[in-house]
Amino acid sequence: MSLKDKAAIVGVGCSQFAENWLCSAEDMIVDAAFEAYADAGVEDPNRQIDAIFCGSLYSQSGPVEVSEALKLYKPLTAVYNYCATGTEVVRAACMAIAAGVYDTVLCVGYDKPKDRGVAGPSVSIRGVRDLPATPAGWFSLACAPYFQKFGAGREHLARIAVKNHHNGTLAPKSFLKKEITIEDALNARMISWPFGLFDCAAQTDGAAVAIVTRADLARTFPKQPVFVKAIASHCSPNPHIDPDHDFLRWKATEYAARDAYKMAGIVHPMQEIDVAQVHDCFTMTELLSYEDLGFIEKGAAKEHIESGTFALTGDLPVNTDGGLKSFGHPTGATGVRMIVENVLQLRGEAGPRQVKGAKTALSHNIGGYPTGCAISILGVE
Amino acid sequence: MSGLINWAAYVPPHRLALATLAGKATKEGGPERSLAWADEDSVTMAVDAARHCLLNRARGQIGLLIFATTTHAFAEKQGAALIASVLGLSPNVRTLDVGHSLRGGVQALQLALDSVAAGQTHEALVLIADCREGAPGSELERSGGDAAVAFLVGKDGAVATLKSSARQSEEIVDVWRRAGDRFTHGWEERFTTQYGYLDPAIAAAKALREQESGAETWRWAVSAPNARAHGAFAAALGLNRAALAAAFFDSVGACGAAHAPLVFAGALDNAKVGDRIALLAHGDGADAMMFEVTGAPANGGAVANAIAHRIPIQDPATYRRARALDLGEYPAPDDQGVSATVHYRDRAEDLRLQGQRCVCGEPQFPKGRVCIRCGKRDQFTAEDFADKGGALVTFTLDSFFPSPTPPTAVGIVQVDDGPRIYLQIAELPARDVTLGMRVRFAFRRIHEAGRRPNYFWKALPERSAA
Repeated sequence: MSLKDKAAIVGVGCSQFAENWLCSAEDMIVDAAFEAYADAGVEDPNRQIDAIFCGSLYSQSGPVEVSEALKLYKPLTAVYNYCATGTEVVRAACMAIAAGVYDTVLCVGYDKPKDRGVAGPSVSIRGVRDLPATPAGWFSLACAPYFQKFGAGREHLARIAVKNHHNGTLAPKSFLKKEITIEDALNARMISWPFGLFDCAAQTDGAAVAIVTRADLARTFPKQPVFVKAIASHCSPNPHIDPDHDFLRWKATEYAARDAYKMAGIVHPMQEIDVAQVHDCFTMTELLSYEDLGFIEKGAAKEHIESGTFALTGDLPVNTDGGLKSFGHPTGATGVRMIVENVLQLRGEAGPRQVKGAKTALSHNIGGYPTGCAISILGVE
Repeated sequence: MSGLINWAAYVPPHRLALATLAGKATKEGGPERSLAWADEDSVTMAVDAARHCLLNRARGQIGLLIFATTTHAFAEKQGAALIASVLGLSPNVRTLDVGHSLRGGVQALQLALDSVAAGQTHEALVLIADCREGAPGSELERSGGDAAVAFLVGKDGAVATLKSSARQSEEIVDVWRRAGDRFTHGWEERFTTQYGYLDPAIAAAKALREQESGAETWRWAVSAPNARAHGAFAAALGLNRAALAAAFFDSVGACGAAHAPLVFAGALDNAKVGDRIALLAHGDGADAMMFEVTGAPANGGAVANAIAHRIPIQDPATYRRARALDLGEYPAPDDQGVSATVHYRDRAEDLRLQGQRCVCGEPQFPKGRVCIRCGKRDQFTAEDFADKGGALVTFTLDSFFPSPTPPTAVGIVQVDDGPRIYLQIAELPARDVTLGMRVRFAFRRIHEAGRRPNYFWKALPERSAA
């Protein structure tokens, strides 16, 4: 069943994304949820919300954190799909609504990684032959073959970081509000070649919330409804063992985009999408996504980065709030945060980073090695 | 008579100039010692020597595997059983560790020769490896070395046969390492050289000489704690320089239980039919054997090749990091490590780089139940990929991975006629890693979760194949 126009987002909220040393997960969940309640005009959540869907990667105690934080005792479902978790939370909610199980659902994405005492993701060792590695080590594997084939280089990655740092300065709840230069990015300490520090997302704490309801109920809420035109997910083989992978793309994005465009009825993404939030866990992930999402031809990212196609003033602004790079990346929250930003953009509430007249907005998460991708496409009438 | 069918040596390529250790400028050709790297130990070095020794040879006749070392990573847990699994030997193989003494290597060889002579097995594999690690600033830090030697023992095809042997057992507290100690201790050197080395070594050598005529033509492959003691031994027996096989004090160092075997393997490399070579190792006494060379070795020059491949260590700090000689902010966490049940289930994949091939022809690593190509379930034949080569599909240089010399190159290797495998790339400066480069595989310590060695394979540049 297509999920097109089955559900609408009627309220959004977002906590400050930062190294929230003085906040617990509860604090951030409450901040984001009560902002969303106010946005949706929800005054009595226990009456107006039918169920909770939530997602977190680092949670120690699981979904009970959300019900206890909000004192909202409702059917509670937790989903998990690495960095795509946030979008998956909203997808699960949309499916439940489309199936007629619930009318109005609270979607909560959150994470509190900064209580672990490490900067960035942990070096993980799960098995004997699992190389201790960080996500930078996995996502960077596309760089050498791509650079060789298409002639792009570290300076193109740096331009993406510069763009997202700029956009982050315009978003009140972003973590890093600091412009950087191409030289800053190129001269930063190396994390995993070719990724330097500025090629990597800023891991932060944070929570983001969206309230989703049946499309036909959307106009009973005070704000202009934002309809879900498509929400899709796809996985791909682990690139480490995929015998056919060319390391010029991430297949999960290509597969999920194909499904999302079919659901939304989009034929020419570059023309039909007005604003996009793309998973820039690393600058190269954003670069590949321009192509894997079909915005431009494979191999064309270099020229579009140079010409500013994806800048705030370009043809298709990408990561208008600074993205994972500078808004911050509390893993489970990120997909919901992107949907929050797209809702603000579609309602014309995005302030100095507003993309004029935006009617259709895409958001994209990819995670794992990478192996899983989820995409949402939202629209206003 | 039993004898030696083949032999091979592994000298870890990292070399530490004694000048570097002393904080002085190095000069080309100056004295140096070999050093097992952070991802090497006596087990990995023994595996490397064994793989060279068994290259292109059937392994089905090997009924006994002996691993001799004073530096096994475990006080309780056999090294030989681990190595037998890595080498894919029959599960019926007898496995045995010999430890605790510097002459254990030569004693292991004697035991294997006896076992073959007695008809207990057709062939026996003897692996002798040691890492001589001295406390920082000690004489042993300078004089020691790390190396491994492999001997394939048998009757059929032997090219050096055992003629006679002699031994001398001695109780003396000269050098020792207590259970739990990291470094070897020694008493005053003039005492230990005379009573711990020269007296028993000379006694065993004289006893050996008395059993056969013509001893004046023998070459002597002899261990010694250092070059001075080696010279004193030769003088006491009246041996001239030509009679003394090169003992590698300035290139490898006194490499513990592997020292006499390494010197012996070097002498065998350079021998001709009819030569007689005496082998003598000391440690709590001395053991001596005499061999006659009866045929040409299959892979001559084994020791010279092993020594020739060098990666000089540039500075003392790198050495200290590689051997974990610096104090850290926190002690290494003594966690449970990788689950023992996972370890057990994955042993063929981890130890032998064993994957599988589907009936549709698709190779796969690690093993899975369902084919990535055709989707069929359980239609696989197991296949070991460790002896194949490969080419690098892509890579990154990971600055986070804990390494003595970051960044660590990590990449995906397309195995020749095989699957793709995600591996670390060792023994190559990061700047020299290139797309498409040819690699081979080496058995290494991959990490130390649970404060124990976890072994897996790494990719090495193909040029370093010996």
